[in-house]
Amino acid sequence: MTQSNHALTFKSATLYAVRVVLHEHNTPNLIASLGQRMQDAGGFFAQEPVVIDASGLNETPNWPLLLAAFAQHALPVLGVFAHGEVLISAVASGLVSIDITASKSADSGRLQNTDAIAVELATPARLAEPKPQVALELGTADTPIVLETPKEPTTFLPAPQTMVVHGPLRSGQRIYARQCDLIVMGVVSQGAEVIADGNIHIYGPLRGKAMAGALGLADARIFTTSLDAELVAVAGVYRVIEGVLPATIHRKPSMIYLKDEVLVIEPLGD
Amino acid sequence: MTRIVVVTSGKGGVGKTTSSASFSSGLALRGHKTVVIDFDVGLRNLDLIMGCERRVVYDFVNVIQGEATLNQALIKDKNSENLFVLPASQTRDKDALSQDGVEKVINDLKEMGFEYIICDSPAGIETGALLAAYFADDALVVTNPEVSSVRDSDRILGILASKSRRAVMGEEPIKEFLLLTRYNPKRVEDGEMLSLQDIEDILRIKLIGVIPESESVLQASNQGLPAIHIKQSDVSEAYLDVVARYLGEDKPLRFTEYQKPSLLKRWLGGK
Repeated sequence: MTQSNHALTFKSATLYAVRVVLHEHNTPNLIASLGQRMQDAGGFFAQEPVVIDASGLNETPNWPLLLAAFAQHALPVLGVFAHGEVLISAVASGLVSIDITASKSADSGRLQNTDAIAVELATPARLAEPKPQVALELGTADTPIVLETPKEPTTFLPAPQTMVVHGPLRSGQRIYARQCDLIVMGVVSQGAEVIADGNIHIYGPLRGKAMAGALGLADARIFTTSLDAELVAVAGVYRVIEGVLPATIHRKPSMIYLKDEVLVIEPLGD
Repeated sequence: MTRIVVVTSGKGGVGKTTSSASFSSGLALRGHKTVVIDFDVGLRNLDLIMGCERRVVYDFVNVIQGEATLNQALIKDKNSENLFVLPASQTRDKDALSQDGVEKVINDLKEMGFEYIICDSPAGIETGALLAAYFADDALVVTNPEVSSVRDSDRILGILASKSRRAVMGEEPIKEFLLLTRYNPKRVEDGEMLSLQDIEDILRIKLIGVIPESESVLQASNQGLPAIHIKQSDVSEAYLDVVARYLGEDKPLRFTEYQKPSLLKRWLGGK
């Protein structure tokens, strides 16, 4: 690793990105499918950095048209993962070649070129479709996009910088801790929503909605010192809490987690 | 230093205008130069409750749009020489209010030497309510002891904490006070209404007073007299306590306990 001795230094960075896997090279189809996915997801993927996985393609799509479509949907493209002719044409269109078969270890990245920052991409976990605990009508819930999953199981990625929120969260307020854990010091009122890609800790009564593991992290948990929630969810598996909970957890310190894809609510402590 | 107080609630019909009228009258009775402004453009009520509806010539919107001066629009209250009322327009709607316009009026009022500017907010969380709250230093959040009012008050507290000038500028946050109105201790004891403790637990802000449910409020508004002026009534005493606590005095809570009437009284038809 070349180190400049005064004006700048090279370090490694870890970046989460969305991998968009192309299944065909027909560009109008790709653009239409992209549009449909973005519409289905609402604003969920806006501004998310994207790596285009064209490794399964044998023929080249129209890169300029495709990239223009991504730009139109506010999806910055970091680079492309591809082979042979497809890769050559992609690079010719200005894309950076990124090898995402790299290992998922948190430390070293790999310099691709001497002037690129080391980027290590974690392949995103499978986005769970909302699965209710009990048979319920789903109504018009948005179904998030299901992306390709790696064959390995989802590993627990360390939380970069936990978001800490002070003060009561009032009805109508919503907090989203992106790619990290969330700690709330204070009450989460009825009508308030707390969402995190990691775990959620609430040091105060939980009276609103809490959704942990929002991008599909099944290991995520919700902790609260007083459970009185309207709705809890982990990795898309949700449960609406109507009526009174058992005395062991109602307004008691509790923990909510997924066990074999089933939502479990347990009292905390001894 | 002028203090700007917004009287808000989210929910409609809980007692904002009634409380604005009595609160500002109470401050004036204590010798403080006070102005109360009606922000409910198009549905003005403050002038009725204050008893000055026949003396409205120019209003808040006229002043903002430069059609009249503050001196022409301000109405001197007939019950107190320290109190002035700035009524809302009845013919226009809330789009006539602008943040710059409101800011200028408030600055002009400060320059006229007013110690307290009370902003009577309309119901809801739209422009009128947002503008009434934007410049506030203190907030009286008026709440009835029932679930929808408490939920809406919680919502408005969130809005005060995020959309007010103090929040946007990163200054010290608005001081929030809970004003419980239409409190009926008997119904609380029967379990029909939320209790004081329940509401404090949900909203978690400092309680500044409890105003009991009373027939004298309706009588007062029909007469065009703020309820605080109905001497010796429970509502009047409660509002006087609120003003005292706001000014820093320590007053024990009254009118929160249900007094079971004696057997004789119950026989004779007491409540």
